[in-house]
Amino acid sequence: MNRELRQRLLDEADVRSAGYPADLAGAVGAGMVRVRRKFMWASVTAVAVALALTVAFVAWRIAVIPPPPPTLESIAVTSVSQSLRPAATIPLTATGRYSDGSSRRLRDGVEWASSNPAVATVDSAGVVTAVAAGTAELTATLTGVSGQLVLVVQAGGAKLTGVHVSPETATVDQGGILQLLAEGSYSDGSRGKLKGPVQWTSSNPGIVAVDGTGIAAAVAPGTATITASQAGLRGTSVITVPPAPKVVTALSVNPAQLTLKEGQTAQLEAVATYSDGSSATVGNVTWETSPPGSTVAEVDATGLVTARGIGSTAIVATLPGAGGQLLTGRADVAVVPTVKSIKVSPAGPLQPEPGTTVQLTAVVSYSDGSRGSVVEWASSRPLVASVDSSGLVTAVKEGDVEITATADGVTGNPVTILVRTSPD
Amino acid sequence: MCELPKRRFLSSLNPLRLVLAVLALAVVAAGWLLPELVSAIPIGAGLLTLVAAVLLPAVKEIEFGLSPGFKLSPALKDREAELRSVFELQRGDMEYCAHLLCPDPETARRLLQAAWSQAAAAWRGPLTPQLRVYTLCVLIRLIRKDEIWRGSGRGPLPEGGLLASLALEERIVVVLHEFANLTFAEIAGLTDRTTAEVLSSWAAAHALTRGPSLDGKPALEERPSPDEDLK
Repeated sequence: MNRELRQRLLDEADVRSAGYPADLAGAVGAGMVRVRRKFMWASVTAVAVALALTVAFVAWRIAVIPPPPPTLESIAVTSVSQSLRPAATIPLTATGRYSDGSSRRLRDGVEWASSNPAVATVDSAGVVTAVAAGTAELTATLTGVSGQLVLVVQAGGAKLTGVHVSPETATVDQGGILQLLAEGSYSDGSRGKLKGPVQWTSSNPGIVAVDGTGIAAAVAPGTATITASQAGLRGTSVITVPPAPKVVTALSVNPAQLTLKEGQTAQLEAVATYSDGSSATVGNVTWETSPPGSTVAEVDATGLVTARGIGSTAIVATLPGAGGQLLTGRADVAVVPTVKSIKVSPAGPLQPEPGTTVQLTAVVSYSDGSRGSVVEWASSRPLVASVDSSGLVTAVKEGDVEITATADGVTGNPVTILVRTSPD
Repeated sequence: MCELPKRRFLSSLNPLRLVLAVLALAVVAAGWLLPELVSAIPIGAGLLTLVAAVLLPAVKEIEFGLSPGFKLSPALKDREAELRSVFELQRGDMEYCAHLLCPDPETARRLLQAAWSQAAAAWRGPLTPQLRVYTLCVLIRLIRKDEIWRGSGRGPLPEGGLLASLALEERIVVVLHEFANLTFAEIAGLTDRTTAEVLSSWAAAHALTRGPSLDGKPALEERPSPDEDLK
């Protein structure tokens, strides 16, 4: 570029920039506003992401890692009394306090120990027995954590405050016996054997009898209260003798007689009679024909009988009895042939005069080829002409009527009767 | 095209941040060992510390070039003053370039301000001499967009300058080479063209600008129409 042109261009640019000066401060300020906005947006996003990550971490941690089981921190040993008389026994209670703040009674795995077995002993169940006057420290230990209780055994005797019978309630079958045990509770909180004689009585010896040693005998169904008494103090036990279970003494089949036509079915039911005289339908019986494999009828496991051929057979239900014997019930089943057709004669139409009679005859043909005449007669209009059970039609007044004969649902050919008065 | 300095992560790692990051992660790990919802307290505190004391200051420094520290406003003011100082030094050249590139002086002023604003917002890290090239690059990009927006890539405006008869790309090459003192390779990188294309534009423009005519007028004015240049 030649120098002159270059200078002209610079002059021109100089004039223009002087005429249109750029606002540098405003431009940079606008840029910094954008920077501030971008940074604030980045900060908010970062904090939101951090919080979301926290929630996700904690949720994941709770879902993945189960909380550790609480650890046993201390054991407290307690009893109803810390002062016992010799020979008295009381149960100790060990209560554990755990790291999660909870506490619960300790039962399994607790090791019990006495610091002075000559004064008091303690068994594995935590029952302490006072031996002689003195002081003993009883310790319960579980997983290395211990708790103590100081027990004082005093030489002086404690006062009897109550009598208890165990078991407090019991159920004994008729004819059975039960040994009852009477214990005393004492003023030092202990419980133990009673000294001296105990008087045993029954509220209803007809139901439960008791002897002087506390043996109760169940005599008859019912409930009786057994009482042990000493020095005016009483303890009771309620004994229930349930009624003897009823047993099946007989089995019958209902209906005991059954007549079926070929192809018909009928439901049999087995009825059990019990030792208390009651009866009820039973379902757990075995059904079979007698003799087995009869061609006359067959029966399924539910007692449904199906007539197969003409003849007679028996259906037997069997049920095991209480003594091991088999109880049976029986139903006699007769299968008769079915009506094939009925032919009525004369076939008609007949035209009697009012007041006259006409005798009709029906011949019934059965499935086994035999014939019979037992039918039911019917008139379509008895006011015009009636028919009696022997097929005798009596014309009453003028009109038309149909007489039919029916047996076992089969109807014979209808006979038309036209009752007309003679013109003469 | 307009290249920003690369993010310098290593430079943001200082002992204080490393210690804080380790402590924050240790608190998060400790929270992991606590039971149930109690763990939310140390985990949340650790993560927030990581964000507020380590991550955001590093972002502030790496991405926005702001001074380290927890307070934003003083850092922004410092950065603004620094940018203004640097732009002020470059102001004369930049204004010449803008007015030579844009036929319309008002457009030149507006686009130069926009270029400063965008460069101030986008530039990351310390202010190096490359900021001038970057600002020019932004200015070129804005001028191109403005030309497209006006619906014509070339041609004089009502108040066109002496270079208005040149095509835009020729004008860019002439101004950047003659007045911004950029090499053709730099111009090619800045305008996203090949060096051969830049040289071609330079040759076309140079034919009109290389020397004065016999009557003393620049050869530039002898060019009848920029459209004929394409034929």
